[in-house]
Amino acid sequence: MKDENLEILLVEDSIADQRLFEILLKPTNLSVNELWISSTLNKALEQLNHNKIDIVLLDLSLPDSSGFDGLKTIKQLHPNIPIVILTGLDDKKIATKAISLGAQDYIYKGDYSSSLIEKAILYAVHRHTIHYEVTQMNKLLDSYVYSVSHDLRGPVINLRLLINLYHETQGTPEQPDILKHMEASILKLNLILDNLNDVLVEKKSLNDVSYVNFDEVFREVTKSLNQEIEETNAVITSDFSCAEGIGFTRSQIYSVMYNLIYNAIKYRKPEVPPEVNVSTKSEDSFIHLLIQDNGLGIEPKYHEKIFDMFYRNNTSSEGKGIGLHIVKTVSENSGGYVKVESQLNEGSIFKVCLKDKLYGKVEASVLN
Amino acid sequence: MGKLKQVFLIDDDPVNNFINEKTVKAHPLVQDVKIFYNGEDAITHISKHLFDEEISLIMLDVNMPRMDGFQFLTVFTKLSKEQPTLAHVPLVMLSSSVRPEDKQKSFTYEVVRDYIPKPLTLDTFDKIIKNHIYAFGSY
Repeated sequence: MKDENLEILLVEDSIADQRLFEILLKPTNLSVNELWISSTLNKALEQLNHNKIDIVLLDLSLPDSSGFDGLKTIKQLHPNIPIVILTGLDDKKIATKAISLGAQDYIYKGDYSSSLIEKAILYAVHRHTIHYEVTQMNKLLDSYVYSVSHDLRGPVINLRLLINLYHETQGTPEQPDILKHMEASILKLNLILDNLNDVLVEKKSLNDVSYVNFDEVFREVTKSLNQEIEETNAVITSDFSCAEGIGFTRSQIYSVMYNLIYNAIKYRKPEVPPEVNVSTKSEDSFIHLLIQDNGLGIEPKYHEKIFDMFYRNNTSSEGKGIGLHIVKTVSENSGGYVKVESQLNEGSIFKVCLKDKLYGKVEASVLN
Repeated sequence: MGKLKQVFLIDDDPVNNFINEKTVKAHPLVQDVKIFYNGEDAITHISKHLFDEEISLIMLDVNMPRMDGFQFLTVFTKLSKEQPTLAHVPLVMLSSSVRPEDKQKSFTYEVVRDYIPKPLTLDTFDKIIKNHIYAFGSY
């Protein structure tokens, strides 16, 4: 949450009130980088376009706007910046109206004090951040529901049609074929459900932290990918000498390694046996897990998109589309990140940066 | 009205193909159906038989491995410039995607006549034939 180095924009036409605000802001504990002051709405909009403002304090009566027009305009153009209303009228109706129009708070100038200003700014910034996060979460959820319903649609429609066909072909040699296709559709549905469960489990097991040995997990992963490795003559190597382990949730490390190695094999170049190297690097409390392959590579324009939930590479339709999203969620939840370095036909390097949750406590936990 | 000599179905899902083949074959005007599991196979076949085969209709899925629907459309558009008879082949997208972007993108290709959401029913198929084949008087 951003409450340091604040860029504050005060929109106020009275010179006296501007001065008063400045004086009262000084002794607060707020970490203010810059206080911008505009005396009209138009100047304020200019400031908002040119500077990265964290919060707006807006007087309701300005030379070029009156009432709630200014609030509405700023809210519309900059929906992601919190606004606190300043007014000379101590009127509850105005306060309620301002909040209902999207303002975070309301300060009556007659009550002006350092502590009031400090509290209003701090709370407004925090509340707004939370609100923003919830909105983002909702958007993610929407797109998630959308993807799931889309994925379920295909096999369900097919099953319905197959059942009709089954009845129509009663007693003909075609019937067993139809049953086979029904089975295939059900398997597909099952796969979608399994993936959904993966997502749910991912969210539940967040707190289960222990010391995880990379080599152990690596062996497990390559064992479960045995079939894929044999079929493609893949060569999977590892080097965990720089960082042998990490304080983390074991199942998440497994999931990250599994998905990235699986992808490296899956998106191999035709006729070229995949070569995958898994290694680690350590940097303070962060551990970097690197997965390098000699596969198809990814065009730079897709480097962000591949981590989206249910994104599918064009060249494959069997992909679950959530593997890389899980990798992203895991790394970001820990305070790290994931990125890919790749060019088409040049192979890829996935770098997963994970925050060691037992950093500074590792030895103790190993001893235990 | 002449018969539809060959309908091409291009879809990677065997269950979809099975059902769609049944539906298409159930139409009295259809003589034969050919199935391809990805765009690449279809393109290989089409370019091999440029002069000795008549395609009456192509039904194309969007999401496929190796060469997806859009990549197919790009290559097919090029081919149809070299071989003008292909330019008259009606091409209909048959998609399970409900994303409006996919539909919009499909219609940016000149060769695309229609965009049909799955499932393909006999009724829909009959309408496709009426709207896009006989309406142009090519038979």
